[in-house]
Amino acid sequence: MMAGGAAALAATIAATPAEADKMSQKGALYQETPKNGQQCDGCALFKAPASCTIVDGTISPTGWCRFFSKKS
Amino acid sequence: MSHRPRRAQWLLRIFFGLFALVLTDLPQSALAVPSFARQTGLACEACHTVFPQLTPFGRVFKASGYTLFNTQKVTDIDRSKQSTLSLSDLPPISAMIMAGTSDAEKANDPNSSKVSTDFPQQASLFYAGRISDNMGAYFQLTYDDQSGSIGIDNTDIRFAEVANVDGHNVIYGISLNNNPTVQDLWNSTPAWGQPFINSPTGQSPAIPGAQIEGALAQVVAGLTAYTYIDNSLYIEAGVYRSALQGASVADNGNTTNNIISGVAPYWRAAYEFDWGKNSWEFGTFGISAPLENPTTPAGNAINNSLQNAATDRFLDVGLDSQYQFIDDENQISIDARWTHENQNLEASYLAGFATNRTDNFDSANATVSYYWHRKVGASLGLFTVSGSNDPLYLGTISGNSNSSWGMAEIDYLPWLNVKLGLQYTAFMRFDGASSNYDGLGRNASDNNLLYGYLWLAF
Repeated sequence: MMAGGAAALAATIAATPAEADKMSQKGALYQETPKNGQQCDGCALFKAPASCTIVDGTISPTGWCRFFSKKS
Repeated sequence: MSHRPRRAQWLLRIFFGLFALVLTDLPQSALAVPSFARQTGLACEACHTVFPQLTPFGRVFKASGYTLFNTQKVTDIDRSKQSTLSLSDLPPISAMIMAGTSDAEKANDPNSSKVSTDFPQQASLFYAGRISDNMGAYFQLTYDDQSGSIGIDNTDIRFAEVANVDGHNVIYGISLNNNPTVQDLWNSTPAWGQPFINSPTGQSPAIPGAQIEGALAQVVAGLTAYTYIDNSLYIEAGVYRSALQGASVADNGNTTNNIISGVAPYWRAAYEFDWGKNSWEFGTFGISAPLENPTTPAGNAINNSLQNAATDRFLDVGLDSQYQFIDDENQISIDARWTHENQNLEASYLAGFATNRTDNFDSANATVSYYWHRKVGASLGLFTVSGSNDPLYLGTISGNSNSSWGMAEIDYLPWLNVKLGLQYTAFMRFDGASSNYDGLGRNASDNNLLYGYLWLAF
């Protein structure tokens, strides 16, 4: 019992070590279609061919999210 | 003789070397608060034109609770797979140092120096970054050389969430902060408005601004709720209470001054249009602050029991607007604000500290700034304050505090987190007169001030 309890406590305390991570697509309100004339390949954060500096996962060049930042 | 050409060559080399330094793209890796840059992995220009002016992206980052990240982090989940920890792998700690030297047209009094050097003028430590998936903080601890002490500076702790509501991007959240408008997203409201830095030894009119323009900073605690819809419509409301530093209203409250009676309601509404490389915001903000045991600009103070203290009531209503043009080469900002204050001075009047039961006060300012490659910039601002004639309350010879002044500044940023500035302030009118405003022969222009500064964050 003690050992099991201690193991559970250790599992709780030992947080997952540092992992590389980005904002989730849900948190960014990502959608795979443009919005109001804005789309990812016109965004300063888009990385061709299909990723983003700050949003996780595969990103469509014609997608959109709330962090859209027009290329200057 | 033979040394002269060689010396001239060296001087030319140094000159062109410095010139090249200005034009060359040096490593640029920091932000106004560099821990935000470390957390997001984005360089300064994502969130700032030139610090501390926010870009549209910077406004979204702030409204989202400073939580956007792009780095390694330490996480944990509970047995139901819910997130219980989401800490940045890097502690979101930053520092800031300001130093400057000022040269006034004439010393403030016959026994003082007209030149003053401040090093550091201000030194700050920040916790600025995410706390959890939905929480973040901007917390500033500052050493101030004028008081020689360390104290709490601007603080903004946020909870924020986002939702898609019928196709609209809706950010909503709560801010716990200590300075009305420190949580705001635009640089046309008081806390982050122009001028961003000035000399600590410069002279100010009897009333330099409305209550919301600095008088409540760092002595209140406010809880406000806000929403930012489609990165355009911003609505916020909340209340503030006094939260003194170094004193307590719980003990010997009659020795404390300017205590908010109950709560002071605060509101803010703004709308931003974005098109191409342009954005234009206009909005309104305000606060209604009933103050117990008020002090007056003339230096009088009421010290009654807080159990039944009379109040001076201040109602501030402001309008603001900000225009920005941002591209890689040119950054233009125009910030403008007008604030009207209705002053019900019942407490001061009954104590014999005010001539009138009610006064009015207005302040207005507009500043245009231009930066080239975020490296070299200039700004020009005009400021004015005006109000009722009330000799007892204001303590000025003219009976009012009407003042107007202009401010011109040139800046050079060798790196995005290092700013060198030269600022000149010229007073056209001071406390109701352009000449002999104090009855002792001092003119408004005697307060003109040349101020050079270094401002860096790391």
